[in-house]
Amino acid sequence: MKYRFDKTTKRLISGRRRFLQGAGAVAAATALPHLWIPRQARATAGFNTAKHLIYIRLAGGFRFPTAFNGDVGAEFNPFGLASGIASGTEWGVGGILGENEWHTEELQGLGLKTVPSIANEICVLPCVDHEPLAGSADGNHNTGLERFLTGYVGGSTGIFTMINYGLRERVAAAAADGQILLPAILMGNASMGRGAGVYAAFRPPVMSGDDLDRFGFNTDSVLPDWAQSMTRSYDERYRDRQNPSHYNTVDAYLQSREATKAYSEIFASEELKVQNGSQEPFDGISNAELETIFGDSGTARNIRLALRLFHYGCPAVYLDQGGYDFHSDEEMGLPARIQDFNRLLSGLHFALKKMQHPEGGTYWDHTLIVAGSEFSRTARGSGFNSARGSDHGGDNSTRWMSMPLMGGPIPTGGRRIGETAKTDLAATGPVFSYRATMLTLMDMLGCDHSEFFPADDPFEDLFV
Amino acid sequence: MKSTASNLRTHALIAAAALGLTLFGCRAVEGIDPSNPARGPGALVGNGAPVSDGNFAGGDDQVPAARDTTPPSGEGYVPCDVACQSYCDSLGLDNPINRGVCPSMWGAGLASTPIDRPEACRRLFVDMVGRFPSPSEVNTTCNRTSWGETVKELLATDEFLLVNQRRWADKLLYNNRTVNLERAYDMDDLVGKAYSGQVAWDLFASVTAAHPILTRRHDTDGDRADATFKLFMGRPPYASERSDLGRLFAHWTNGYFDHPHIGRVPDAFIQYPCVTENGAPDPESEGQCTSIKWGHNQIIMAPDLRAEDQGEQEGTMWSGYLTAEEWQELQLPGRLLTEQTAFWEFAVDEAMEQYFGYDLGTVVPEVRHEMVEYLLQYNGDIRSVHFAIATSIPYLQSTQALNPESYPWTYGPLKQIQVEPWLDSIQRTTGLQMGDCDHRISNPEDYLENDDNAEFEFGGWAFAMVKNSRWVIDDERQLVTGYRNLARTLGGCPANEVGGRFTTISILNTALQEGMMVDLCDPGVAGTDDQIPTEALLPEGMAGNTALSDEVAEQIVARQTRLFLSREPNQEELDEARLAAAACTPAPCDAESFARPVCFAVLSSAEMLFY
Repeated sequence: MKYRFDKTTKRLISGRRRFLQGAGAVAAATALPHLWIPRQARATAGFNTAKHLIYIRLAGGFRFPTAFNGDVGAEFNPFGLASGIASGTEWGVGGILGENEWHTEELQGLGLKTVPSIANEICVLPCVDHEPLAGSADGNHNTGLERFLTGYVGGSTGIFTMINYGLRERVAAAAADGQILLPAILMGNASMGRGAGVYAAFRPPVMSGDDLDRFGFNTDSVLPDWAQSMTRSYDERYRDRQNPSHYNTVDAYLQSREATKAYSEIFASEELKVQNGSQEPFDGISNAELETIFGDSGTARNIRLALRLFHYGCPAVYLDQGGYDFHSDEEMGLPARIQDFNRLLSGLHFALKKMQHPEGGTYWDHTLIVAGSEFSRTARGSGFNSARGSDHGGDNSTRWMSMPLMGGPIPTGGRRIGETAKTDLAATGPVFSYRATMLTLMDMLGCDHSEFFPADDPFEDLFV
Repeated sequence: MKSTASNLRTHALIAAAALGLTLFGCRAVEGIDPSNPARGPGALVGNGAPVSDGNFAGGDDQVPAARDTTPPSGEGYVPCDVACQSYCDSLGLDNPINRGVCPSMWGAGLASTPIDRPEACRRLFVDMVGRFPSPSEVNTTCNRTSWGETVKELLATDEFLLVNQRRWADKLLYNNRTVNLERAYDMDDLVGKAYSGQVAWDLFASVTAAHPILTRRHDTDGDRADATFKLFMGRPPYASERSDLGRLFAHWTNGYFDHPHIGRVPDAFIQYPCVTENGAPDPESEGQCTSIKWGHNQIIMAPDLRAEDQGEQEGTMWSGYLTAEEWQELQLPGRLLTEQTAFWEFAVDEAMEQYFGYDLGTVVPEVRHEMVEYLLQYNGDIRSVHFAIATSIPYLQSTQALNPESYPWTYGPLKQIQVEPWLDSIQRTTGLQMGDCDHRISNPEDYLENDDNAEFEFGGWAFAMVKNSRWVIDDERQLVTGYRNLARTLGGCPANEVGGRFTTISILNTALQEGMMVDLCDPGVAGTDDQIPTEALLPEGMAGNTALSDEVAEQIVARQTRLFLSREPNQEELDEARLAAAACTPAPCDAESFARPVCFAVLSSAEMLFY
């Protein structure tokens, strides 16, 4: 759901068009309870325009005005604006995005650009809020993060579980054609993959770039026939001697072992061994090049693996980046820590444009890159708190996640969709609910999201 | 409970006099022990004698025969008539679970499923010690004069405490980026005191409900009341309960404490609502600090010199300055809940869920009733509950299909092992060294890596704190992360930013587990990195190049079955060993080329995941 600031009442109001649509649907459903409302009713013009999503959490609560909504008062962005900003950029490019110690001669020579110089390919939603109609921001680590991961406090289904569930028919159709598609995968907080009941089977696996060597084999290939038989026998005997009530519990493991074999070929791929230093191009880029581009930090290894997983049908990857809970030393610490993120954005911009997608075009054409956080931060009217850091409370500065989006499926690069007042950060344009934003991302991936966040709708603004 | 303004002021003056400059001096907190940086209200309780003598009854009940009557169909409530009740009364059962379940079991004509010692020992060790037993422990610890002696012995181990400390870390979501880690250490000590009988369960709940580890985790009074209800009543509060109890959390607020050794940390602070500028109760607002749902209960505190006089936290006080009396006063909301019967019922229900994997107290309410009485008989010593469960006959039943009745209390519970017990068992039996995980410090690297540009630098104290924790630091002063990385992928060792632990069967978890077993067992004899030494997989004295024979094959299977599964091989497994030996290629196989694939078959089997 999108909300707009009403200057007369000075309150946020929900979009009338959507309200009327909803009222119409309810009226129709009341009159004809059996009426089938097609799920496309909630689809946007961007439906199914992206094949992949990279969702990055700037962990710990990120001070967004310092980066993605920079043209505001110094108490909100004490780092000022960046220089060398690409023409056609509407949004305020914060000074920390210009921190470029990572931008070595080698990377410059390779063709990587600084973030300000690609800002016209990044669209920013300055005002994304967990609860636009709430009286104040949720600046609590626990509940803010729960909202970020599931849409609600205590939400039982993670956003990435929703993605896997929403794509279930596509995966089943591919399987019917003998094609195994990897699911959405987490490389960070496992709660993004919560799921119970009907959604439990769609929980995304948790992996990291360091794990994959453990997947790279087919156990049948290393076991002699007699040992394969013995392995099966141990499991089957154990299952069969259980009380009938326990049978299914154990059998789930046996089935899982069988299913694992279906993935073994994928996991055994040399391309997924992202640390092997291979010079062999795959999808137009080698593992060695990816290491040069992204480096070898934990986040870098995760993103290198993510780009390889996409080749095998993985629709989305989630990762935690950074650690931005700077209650102290933000003044010196943030410009240093943001460097990895700057390199990540720039590296993705470069690598995805170079990588050839198996279904045609480049990966950039098919990939959506989005960053968010559990909340923003505040110094309560000063540039920094007494420890030269920032905190999080209930004010506007904490409230707005100014979320950047980039990639080929975003036709509004460089635009700012929404606005805040420079003096108090009050919203002066549209405010998007976080849940609506997540629905929009799901929509772009072609997910069936009809079961999720019924009070919110995906929005069109990104595609206009 | 109501404190008057005058005695509050007296408290404040005494506190100020007693603490005064000393406490302000504590801003420097020199001398805090990095091996145990605990600070908080947990240190103020449980420092005397145990709340009970620990000699719990009911550890030696004999398995009764089922009454000679037609058993019920297997579904729904089990009626118990006079003859049934009379039969149960005649059995002289001491164990409260046995007493409570009898009318739904033996009295109703249902027999329990017998269990052998290895299966019982394995279950008990995972539940109480957090790992599978070694073969010698099956034959010693689990072979005492009575099962009650065995359970009592395990109750006294540090591992029993650790199992429960880890559970409470998950429930309270210890995370050093969210709450000052000194509070996690203090809470961890408090859990340890409760599970070693030093603190009664009602006191434990009272202190926990007003512990900074809980209050700092939440933003509003209502959220704190909500969390307390869920923790100790097993349900969210109704709206009226939430708002009413929330008023007794009105003094808590969130702030940041400048720790001399680890920098600025989030911590709980005290604010002063409901008083006038003079510190007297304000008739206009004191209702905001008053609960009326469980009697008239009020907490009113007045500010004094300890409150911050400037900065973002002006007017509030760091909770570390609270006196023992003030802590006790703030523990009122928890105390109110402990006066409810439902509090004690949930305490026993939760423990039964922990061991049985299902809610026995709900499906057989008589069990809950007996357990509550039993717990109170031992003055709220939570160990008594664990003792009663672990010595009960419903717990000590085989999971196997000897008894096909569908009542879950007529056969043994089967549960999936959690990640840490699985990894710890593998480390112990294979010699694998992957490090460890310490739930008290979810992000230890925060204190080991200095940011070049940061003003605050972590020094030797912070390093010593991590070094003294369960985290492993190698010779190059680097954190050993193999255990944590694998555990987090599989669902354990959670960082607890939000609820993090999960136990699941998934394709990739299975692939990961199988991959680890390939690395350890090396079934292809390819020389994998973490290969288990050959001698560990073979009977003592057998060389790896010993020619494979039926007898050698049987000995190898027996050796590994004892080592990994804590039991003797059955005839079917021995028969299979001989068949496998005959099929082993390229012939003639030797002991090692047979033992390594057997290792994979046994270590990756379902029996290692379920117990």
